[in-house]
Amino acid sequence: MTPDPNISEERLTHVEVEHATDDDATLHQRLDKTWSDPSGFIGWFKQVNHRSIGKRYIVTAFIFFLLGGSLAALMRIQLARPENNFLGPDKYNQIFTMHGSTMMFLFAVPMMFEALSVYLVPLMVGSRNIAFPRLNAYSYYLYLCGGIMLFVAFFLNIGPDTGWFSYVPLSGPDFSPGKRVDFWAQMITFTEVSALAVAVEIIVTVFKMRAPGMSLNRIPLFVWASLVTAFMVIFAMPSIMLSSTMLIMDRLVSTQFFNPAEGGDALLYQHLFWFFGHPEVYIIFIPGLGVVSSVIAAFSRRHVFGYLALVLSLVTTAFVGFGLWVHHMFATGLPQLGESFFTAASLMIAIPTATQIYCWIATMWGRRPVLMTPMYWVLGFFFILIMGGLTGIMLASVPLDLQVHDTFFVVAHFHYVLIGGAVFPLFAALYFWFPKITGRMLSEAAGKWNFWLFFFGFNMTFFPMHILGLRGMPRRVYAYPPEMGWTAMNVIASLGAVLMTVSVLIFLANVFWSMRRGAIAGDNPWGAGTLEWGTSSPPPSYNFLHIPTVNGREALWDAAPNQAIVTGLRTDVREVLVTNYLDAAPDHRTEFPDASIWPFLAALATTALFIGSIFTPWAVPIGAIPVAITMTGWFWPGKEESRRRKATEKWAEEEA
Amino acid sequence: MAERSNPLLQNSARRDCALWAGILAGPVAFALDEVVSYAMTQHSCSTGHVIILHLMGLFALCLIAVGATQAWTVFAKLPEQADQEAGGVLDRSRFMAISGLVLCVGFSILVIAQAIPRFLLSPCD
Ligand code: HEM
Repeated sequence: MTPDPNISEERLTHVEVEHATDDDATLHQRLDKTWSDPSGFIGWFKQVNHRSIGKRYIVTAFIFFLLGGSLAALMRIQLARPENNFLGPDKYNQIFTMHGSTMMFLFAVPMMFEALSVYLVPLMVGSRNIAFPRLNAYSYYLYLCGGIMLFVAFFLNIGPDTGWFSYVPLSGPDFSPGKRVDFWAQMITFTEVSALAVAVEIIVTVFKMRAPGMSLNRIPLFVWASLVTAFMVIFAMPSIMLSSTMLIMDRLVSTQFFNPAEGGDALLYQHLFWFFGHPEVYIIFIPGLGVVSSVIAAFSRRHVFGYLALVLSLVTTAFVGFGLWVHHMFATGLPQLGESFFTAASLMIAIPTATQIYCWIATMWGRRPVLMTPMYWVLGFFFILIMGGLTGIMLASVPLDLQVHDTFFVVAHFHYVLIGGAVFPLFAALYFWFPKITGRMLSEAAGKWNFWLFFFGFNMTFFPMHILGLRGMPRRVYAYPPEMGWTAMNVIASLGAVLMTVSVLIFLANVFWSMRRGAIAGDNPWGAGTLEWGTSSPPPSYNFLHIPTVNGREALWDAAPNQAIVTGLRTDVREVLVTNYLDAAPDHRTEFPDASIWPFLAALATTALFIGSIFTPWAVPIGAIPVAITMTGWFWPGKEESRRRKATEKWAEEEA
Repeated sequence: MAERSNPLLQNSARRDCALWAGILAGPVAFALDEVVSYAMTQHSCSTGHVIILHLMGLFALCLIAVGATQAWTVFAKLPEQADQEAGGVLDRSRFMAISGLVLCVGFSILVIAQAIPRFLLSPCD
């Protein structure tokens, strides 16, 4: 064995204590007993392990994708004919708002960031659970409740109808009386609190719970992507929470933040919204870049070319992504010189993206990557994203932007970016990690049908929208007259949507079929190099029998013949190893909380507070009481835990 | 190793601060330059003090230069064997130092790109 010279022997010995002699079967039993979450109906609400919560995030976000997609299908039916009466103007307004809001807040961010990160990051860094597991469960229930609230409102005909960004003054009290906008604004609060919670968990997991040896320069690229996204969430989300709360206050308690007549400022809303809204695009897109790097490395059977360049591209994209927001406001009459700063940044952000594409091409160069379904989605991603990026560069120039502002050109552009940047990598991720999550392979044949139908359907739907936009078709119109000459392109777009629907149905059939009858995957069906492939599929309740150590960027490929493992963690309590943030050297051990119903109850109490405050400001102080009670229950230590803590404190005093 | 006895490399807090300065200088300078210049545009128009905008760009470049110097100081002192892929403290420091230098170069290009329109457009346009 060549032990990694960077793992301090002294510290490892400190961790290596009484159970180092256990054989694997006994160890498995002990760990399983300790780490298994309760089952059964009530037990389901108590679970806090990252795999259960991650799977729930994946399934829930996918259901919202299907709901958002169904709304899109309704819009495409409506627009397939001129002067169509399938949907009236009010329904159409609600539907495009619901579609945009669902896709952005309930599908794209929760799926690309929360779902994938919560499931994969702890496995990839070699940890037994995510940091703050109860907070993780709470974040999921909050997200779920926010989504359900929005759809209940929609089915009761009080769904939001002012667009996914709900600009004032349209969404203000004068032009949007009733509660429609309030449901939208409160859905934001739900989803942002939940995203912020996950961001904190991911940052702590990545910084403090990496397997020994996984220093900063060896973190897997997907984990880098999650980490960068988590920081973006922390800086971006407060801005939208602030603007949506100010909007609710303008509507509910007559503050005048956005009312120019009373000294407020309508443009302030746009600034706050887009300071979040543009980074949001990258929050959706950056995890996808991590997926692409993982898939390309696995299928090219080599380390990714240009690791440093890829990491720096992610970091640069994240920083510059915060410096572009004004390009969404070019049509608001801001000073030209001020706008030019944002034009420059908008053009320059193409550089890190291009760098990444070069690195991926270089990785595949000369290696004949194995062309299986995840790779198909990755290659599709290249094509679609480059198209979206090119129209993005066009839109970064103010004169063109003014010309096509609020037309279908913009709708085409952002679908190329969002679907190219999120949905294609998402399918790549689902095909790639499905075997790890379920233990079975998805069907390759169905996967290829799924891909080709989606690829053609997507381009058929969205490419004609560029032409529609250039020919002047505005977005958000429920009908158009036949003499405008827009009919043919709209028919093509709607037919493309049919192909996409069939493709998604094939995917669902593939998932349900493969879950029962798919080929058994084994631990590492793709021969990939990151740590999640070093445990069984699906992973056991404790993730790793022995916490691994890491000897290179692809932990499994670079492992020494007899790679060191961490031993000595307690098996009778949920103990994990904490390492330092730069070098992942073992630092100390800490105990994780058990399963608990309190996070679920706290989420219900928070939901009552949030929904109540749509109707009365009194819901805030009154609703805070159950929130405080449930959170107290959440943090109240159990008898056994108190006893252990007291014993530790006593021991520490004696040692001192 | 002679390099290992270098005080900068031995003092982990100082070394890591210098490395972080290299990494963060570019993004911070870019953010400051963009936000302050954007906010000052109207002021420059009303007072005619366009020089403030130029000074802001210059300040951002100086900040980046400071960060780059910090990163370079550590980089230059690292032993040649330090390998960006290996897991030691010096290897990881090399990774961070190069990251800092590259980010400084990248963000200075961005700051310069944002400075060019200040020479071409008037703040009152
Ligand atoms: C799956 C196929 C999809 C189809 C057929 C589709 C179709 C459409 C159409 C026709 C509109 C424009 C409505 C109008 O302006 O009149 C629209 C708007 C929008 N879509 Fe999609 N879309 C799809 C997927 C997505 C995805 C995956 C996302 C995000 C990740 C997304 C985000 C949006 C947003 C943000 C809007 C703007 C809503 C607004 O104007 O407020 N869409 N979509």
